Parts: sequence; C-alpha cells; structure tokens
Amino acid sequence: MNEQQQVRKNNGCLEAGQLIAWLDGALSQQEANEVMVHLATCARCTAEARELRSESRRVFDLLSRLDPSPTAHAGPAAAFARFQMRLYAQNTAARLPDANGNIDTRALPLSSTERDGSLLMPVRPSARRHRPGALIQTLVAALVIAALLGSTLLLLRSRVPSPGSHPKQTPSIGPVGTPVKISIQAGGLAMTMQITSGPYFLSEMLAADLTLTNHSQTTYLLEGTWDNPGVIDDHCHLPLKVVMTGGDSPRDTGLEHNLAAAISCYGTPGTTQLLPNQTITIRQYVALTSSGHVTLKAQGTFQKPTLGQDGVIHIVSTTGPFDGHWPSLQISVQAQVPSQRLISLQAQPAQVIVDAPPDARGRLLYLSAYDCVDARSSQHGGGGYWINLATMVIEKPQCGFSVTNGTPTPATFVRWVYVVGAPGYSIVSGTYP
Amino acid sequence: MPEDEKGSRATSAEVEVFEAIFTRYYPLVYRLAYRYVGQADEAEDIAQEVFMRFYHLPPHATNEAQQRAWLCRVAINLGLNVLRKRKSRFDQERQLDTQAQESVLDSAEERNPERFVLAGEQAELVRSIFAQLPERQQVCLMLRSTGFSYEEIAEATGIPITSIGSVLARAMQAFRRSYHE
Repeated sequence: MNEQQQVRKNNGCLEAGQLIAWLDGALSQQEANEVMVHLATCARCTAEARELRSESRRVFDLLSRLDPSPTAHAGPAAAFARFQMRLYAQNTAARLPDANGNIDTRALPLSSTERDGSLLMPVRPSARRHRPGALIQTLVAALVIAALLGSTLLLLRSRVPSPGSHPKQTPSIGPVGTPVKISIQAGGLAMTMQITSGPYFLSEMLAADLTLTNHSQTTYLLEGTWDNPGVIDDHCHLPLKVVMTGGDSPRDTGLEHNLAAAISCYGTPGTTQLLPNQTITIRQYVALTSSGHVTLKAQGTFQKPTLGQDGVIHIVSTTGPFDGHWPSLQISVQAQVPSQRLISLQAQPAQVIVDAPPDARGRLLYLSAYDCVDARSSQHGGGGYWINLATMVIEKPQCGFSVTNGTPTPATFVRWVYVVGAPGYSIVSGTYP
Repeated sequence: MPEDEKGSRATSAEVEVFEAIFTRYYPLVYRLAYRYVGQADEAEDIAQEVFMRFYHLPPHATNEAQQRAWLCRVAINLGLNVLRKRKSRFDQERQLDTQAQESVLDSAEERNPERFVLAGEQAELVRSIFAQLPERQQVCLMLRSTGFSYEEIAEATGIPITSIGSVLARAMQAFRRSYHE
C-alpha cells in the first residue's frame, strides 16, 4: 500500500497527503467526491484542510522569495550566446567532461553559428578573465552582430502585425480612485462586491473583489475551486464571479475575441466548502468590452450532496440564500479611453513591448495562450489566468518538440494570443502571427 | 555541428530544435538553479551545464514533458551538489574556526525570522531552512512550487504519483515548523 492509498488514520480521518492532493486537484473525480463527502461531516478534517491550504500558500509564498528578480539575469538569447561560447571553448580544447565529470575524447560538436562560421559571443558579465585581444575582438564582433540584428528587426518589424484593437483616446482624467463597495446579507451569509471606481471607459480592466462570509452554523457548498497557489485569478472555475451584462456599441470585439481565445477551461469546476465562520475572498478581473449602461453582477452556484439512483453520492446544484439577490452594480461606460489610462503594445518579431503610464507599471497583468502542432499532436500553452507582469518586454513563447525513434521533431508555432492590462487602466491584446 | 553517439554530425534542423529547447526552458532551469544557490553566477553556471549535458547526452524522452522533467531534474541535482559542497566546506571551516559557529545560517539566534527580515536576508533564511529538508521533500516542494503537476513531479523524480501528496504535506509541515522555531 503506498503512502496516499493509506488515506484514513486510525480515527477515520483523512491523511494530510490525501487532503493536499485534493486541494491541488490531483485526485480522480471519484476520489475527490469521497474526500468531499467525508469533509461534509468531519469538522476535524475540514479544519485540517483549511490549515493545509493556508499553509501551502504561505510556504509557496516564502519559496517564491528565492526567485531571481526579472532583471537579475540575461534573457535566453544572451544565455544561448554564452552557451555557444562555452561550446566553442570546449571545441578548442577538444575535451569534454561528461555527465560524471569524465573527459570525452571524441571530436566536439559545433553550434549552428559555429557551423556558419560566425561565432560571436557577448562578454560574460561575471568575473571571468579575458585576454585584451580577445575582448576587443568580441566587442567588435558584438557591434557587428548588433548592427545586423538591428537592421533585421527593422526589416521584420514592418511585417509583424500590430497588436489588436486600440481604443480611441480622450483627454486625461485623474488617478484611479477608491473602489465602490456593495454589501448584502441573507441566510446567515454576508457578501461584499468591491469594484474599481469610475469614471468607467471602454476596454477598461476592473478589479472585482468578492468576499463571502458564513455567519451561520451551516456548511455551504459552492461550485468552483477557490484555492490555486500562484494563480491570481482563474476565470474558469471560481466559486464566485462577476458577470457583465447590458452595454451597447461601440464594443471592443477584438478584445472580447482575444480574451475568449486566451482563457481555456479544462477539467471540472470542483466544489468549494464554506464552513461556519469562514470567509472566502476572490479577486477577478473584468474587461469592459461594451460602452453605455452596463450591469456588473456577482454570481455563484450553491451545491448539495445527494444520493443518486446508482447508489453513489453526487454533488448537485441547489438553491441558495442569494437567489435573486446577488449584489450588482450599474455603471455608465464612456466610449473613449482617457490618455492617462492607456496601455499600449508594440509587436516585435519575437517579443512584445509594453508601454504603460508610470502608475500602472507596478500593477500590470498578463494573460496569454499559444498553440503548436507537430506531426502527431497539438500542444496548448499559456496559463488561462492572469499573472503579474514584472517586465515591460514579453518574449514570444517557444514550441517544444517530440522525439520519434530518436529523431527530434520541432513543433510548428500556430498562434499566440496575449492580453495586458492593469486595474483602472485599459486592456490591450494582440495575436501572433 | 553536434555529433551523435556514432560521431556523425547533426543536421541544422536538430541544431534549431536544440536552440528552441534552450530558449524555451532556460528561464525555468535558471530559476530552479537560482532558488537553490541564490547567486546569479552560480545559477547561470548550473543552467549552462544542464544544457551542455542535454546537448551532448540528450535524454531518451518521448515527449516534451519528459524533456522538461529531465532538464529540471538535472538542474536540481546540480543545485543540490552545490549545496552539499557548500555544507562540506562550511563544516571544515567551522572545525578550524570557532568564530564560524556564529554563522548566519546555523546560529539559532540568527535564524529568528524577524532578524532576517530586518537584515534584508529573509531569502537566505528560507533557503537555509529549505536546504535542511530531506532531499526527496526538497525536490517535490521545489517542483510543485514552480508549477509542476503531480504527474510531472512523478515523472521527474520517480516517486509514485500516489505518494506525491504525502511527501508535499510532510515537506510543508516541516518547512513551516522550522520557519517558526
């Protein structure tokens, strides 16, 4: 019996490993249902699951502090140039240590640039010693490469499609103000919806903070998954979400289209428990893709366990205290983007440059999806959720490859959809190619 | 041009494939290495070494996930090697110099989180606590915290997928316990 199959302690409670796997969505649907059924009747395991969830968040947060800063190292291109330099040095020495540190006496390989007779490497920034002559040669070579690359980029730039829709601009408005807050209570539940303040404009990104507290002694079930370490916002399976209705022309259909393409939902929504005295807080980002009178409304689906005719316990939708009372907000959305709230993108052959007002730069968010195909299958990449964008340059994703009979087959890049925004500022999007 | 095991030259397509892999996974490999060693130069050396091994002795991977797992596993192994060497060197120095017993990493007083925060060295505290976990727990926690699924962790480590949750739970509990000591 392995560690996880031994799911029950002597007192009948679930093991921490089983709970962690459930929280991480790593269990099968049947296993997850068994866990949920147990949790619905076991306060001890429920409390432990809650503790494990917050513990994993705290640990991941601490570990993320070990990450290098985005500017602490050169990008992959510069690193690859250094790799070629190293390879070249090994070629020259005609000796290569293998994975165990032994010396390989075979003749050594050349990189693609070496093969082309144009080995030109940047100087390594660390404390490596260089002969003066070699350094001058390297610098001259780097200048030549820079000139060649620059002219190539200029040539390619005119052929790269510009990012998607850029809304019209209007004169400036003030800074982003205090959020608007709405609160309601029903059935022992209290809910607040807090939205980025107006004035609102077309293509604006709003931050919607939804908080639901259970003041009753009843455990509620909600369809959707609340916890997802490292993820700011999972549009697909949130237990609470804000839905936008109404609005009129003009609409930002390009943004609508790109957002739909960038957000792919996989798997089942799962179920979130709301225990007595528990609060769940969710941040969602909403794109105002239509102008005029728009309604923003919070939504959720309450659930309950029920015994099916097959003898298996199923989790099904049911009525809830907020039916017909979910908090909502009507706003007026102007058709033009204030110049001080405008974020723009500039597409390059292999990257996208972000331009944003200074106040927005620390709050930029990024969403993307890309597709690659090879001879046997298609690959889909991208998170499907917003992540913090710490840099103003977004590198184009690279396709992987498959290996057939020892022969690597590169996948073909099909499409990349990218979206950038910040709460209170515009959202911009683009596609490649 | 690269050679295969028989000494024949690789095609330009294979070189391009290698470049694509390098570009795609270098940031991840570098990030893993940096998390272990905490120094840009050392992390870069590890990342370069990972791809050098991949270049000369590519794994027999049948899909992209296996290659990614291989790259990360080698990065972690090299990171662990650096930590082992550091620990060995540190232990030797400590025997020779009693002053070294007051080192930041091992002093119970200095491991107080608030002092590290004040000193701007919280990352070193986290790294030192992390390094004290059993290696099996370190690897699972590191991979999970960088976005690996349970299936991918199992692929990279050889640990049964049904045991990953238990390893992670123990790792997180041990980590939190040490952090608050």
